[in-house]
Amino acid sequence: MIIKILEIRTFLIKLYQKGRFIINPLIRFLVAFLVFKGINSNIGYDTRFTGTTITLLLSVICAVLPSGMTVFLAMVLSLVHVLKASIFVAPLLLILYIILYAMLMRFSPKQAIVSVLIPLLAGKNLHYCVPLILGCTATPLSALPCACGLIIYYMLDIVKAAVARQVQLNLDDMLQLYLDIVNATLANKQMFIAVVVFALVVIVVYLIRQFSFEYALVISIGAGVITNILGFLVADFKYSSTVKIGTLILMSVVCGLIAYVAEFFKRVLDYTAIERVQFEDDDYYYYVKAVPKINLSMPRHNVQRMGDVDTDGEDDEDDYRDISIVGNDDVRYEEYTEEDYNIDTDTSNDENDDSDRFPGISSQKDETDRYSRRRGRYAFDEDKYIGRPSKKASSDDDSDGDGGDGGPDEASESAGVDEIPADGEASDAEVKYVDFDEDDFK
Amino acid sequence: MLNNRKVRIMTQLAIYEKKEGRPDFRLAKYYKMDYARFNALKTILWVTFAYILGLFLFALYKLEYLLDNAMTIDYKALGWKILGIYIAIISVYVVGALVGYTIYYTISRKKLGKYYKMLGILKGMYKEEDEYK
Repeated sequence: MIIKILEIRTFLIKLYQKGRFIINPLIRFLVAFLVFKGINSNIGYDTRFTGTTITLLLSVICAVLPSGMTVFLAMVLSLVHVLKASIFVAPLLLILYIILYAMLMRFSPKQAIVSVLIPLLAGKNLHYCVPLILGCTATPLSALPCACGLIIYYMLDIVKAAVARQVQLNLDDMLQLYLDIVNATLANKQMFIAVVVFALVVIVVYLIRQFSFEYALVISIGAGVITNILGFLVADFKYSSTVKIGTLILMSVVCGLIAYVAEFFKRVLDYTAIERVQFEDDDYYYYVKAVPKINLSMPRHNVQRMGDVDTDGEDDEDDYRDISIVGNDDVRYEEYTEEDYNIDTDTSNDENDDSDRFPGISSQKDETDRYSRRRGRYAFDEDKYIGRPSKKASSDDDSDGDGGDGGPDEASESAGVDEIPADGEASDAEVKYVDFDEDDFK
Repeated sequence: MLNNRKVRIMTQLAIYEKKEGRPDFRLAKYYKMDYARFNALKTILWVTFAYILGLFLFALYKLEYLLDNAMTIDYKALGWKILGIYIAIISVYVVGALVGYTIYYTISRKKLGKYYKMLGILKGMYKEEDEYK
């Protein structure tokens, strides 16, 4: 079961890598479309901007621009709608947005999209998953845009109620309306409770996620869910807010599951994907396509001959072919536990690998190398290979001659059955499908 | 003949320059404390602006009281109170900004240090090539 899920994840990662340039804008488009649709259905007072054409147009703009633009346009759209309904409330909303940006949002601009996602998800009570996911993937600072989102969500409700009360354009009425808005905001304990509880959830999940013990991810999300439930319950008892306990518990658990799935598939949306770079030196212009390694190979439907008994008692090619299939499966199974995306132009044969000095990518590469070595020790007796040059080593300089992109497939293709040593055993055959460095064989 | 090792290093450098390195290069123009102070200054300006807006909203909320007691209000005490709250808020933000941006700078410089180390290796390789020629 877990293997199947991992295969699905790998499939999605490959799919994402291939179509990253389409999928990313598509996701941004969908998010923007849902956000604008939500605003239009909630406070769509200006009918000129509630049409599908305008919504689609705005979403397309957001699709090709960074996610911060979605936040900006969402705020502008909400202001336009409120301005149409009440010329007095709109400036107040504008001031609120400026204060929120100046004091909270500008410290965590990468997570600014959260401030529009929370109002969108809050309608379905799915906003509990936002702090859980942020705790897993971001820093505690992401509690700030979380707070922004919650304040905007609750403030829009108050503004909606205020706009419904049409007032005359005289100072007394406007002042009274303003007093009502502020009083309603101050009386809205739910908002303050949610801000504090969400911040706590982000911090708790983040802190537990930092530990390296087993199941830290599950435990951190579980702790986040418990913090969420307890926080709202305690606040409910203390301040008599209007929390529906059943919904809170159910949706917190559901959101915990969503957060776990999101974290599990995080790699799919990781921006580490195929890179195309170009540079030059004295002799060449280089147009390089760097393909990240994906360890998990998709299942190969090999046919294992069951009735084939080796009667001659000698090693021959057929014996090793069968063995190699088994070895490949073993290796594939082991590789499930490792996540590495090594951006590398050539992954097959390097005597001197300096990529561990490269920032960011290096740590993952280190892990892979360590892991490969660990597997190497486990998989075969290294002494057998000391002093035995492989075919790859002899053709080092011509490694790029085939024009391959150095991806995992190329590595596995080059590791053929023919390279299996004649005196090898079953464990030796496994080596052929592990992308070892030359260092491992010395 | 292509030097695979060199190509790999140059590729990694190019990817870093293209994506992750951009903010790091911008940041490399500053000394650590200059960077932290500059951002703390920006934070002070933004927070001051937000505080003034908040003060305006609060004054609007208390407008009736202010108009009724315009002659009897102790403006000096009120001013000190407003200043005290402002200093308290600003202090929190400035300390947070100094610490946060210093940490950010340190992390960024570490990444940049690795980048320069890679450049040094590349330079060494060029030197070796030149000697070979």
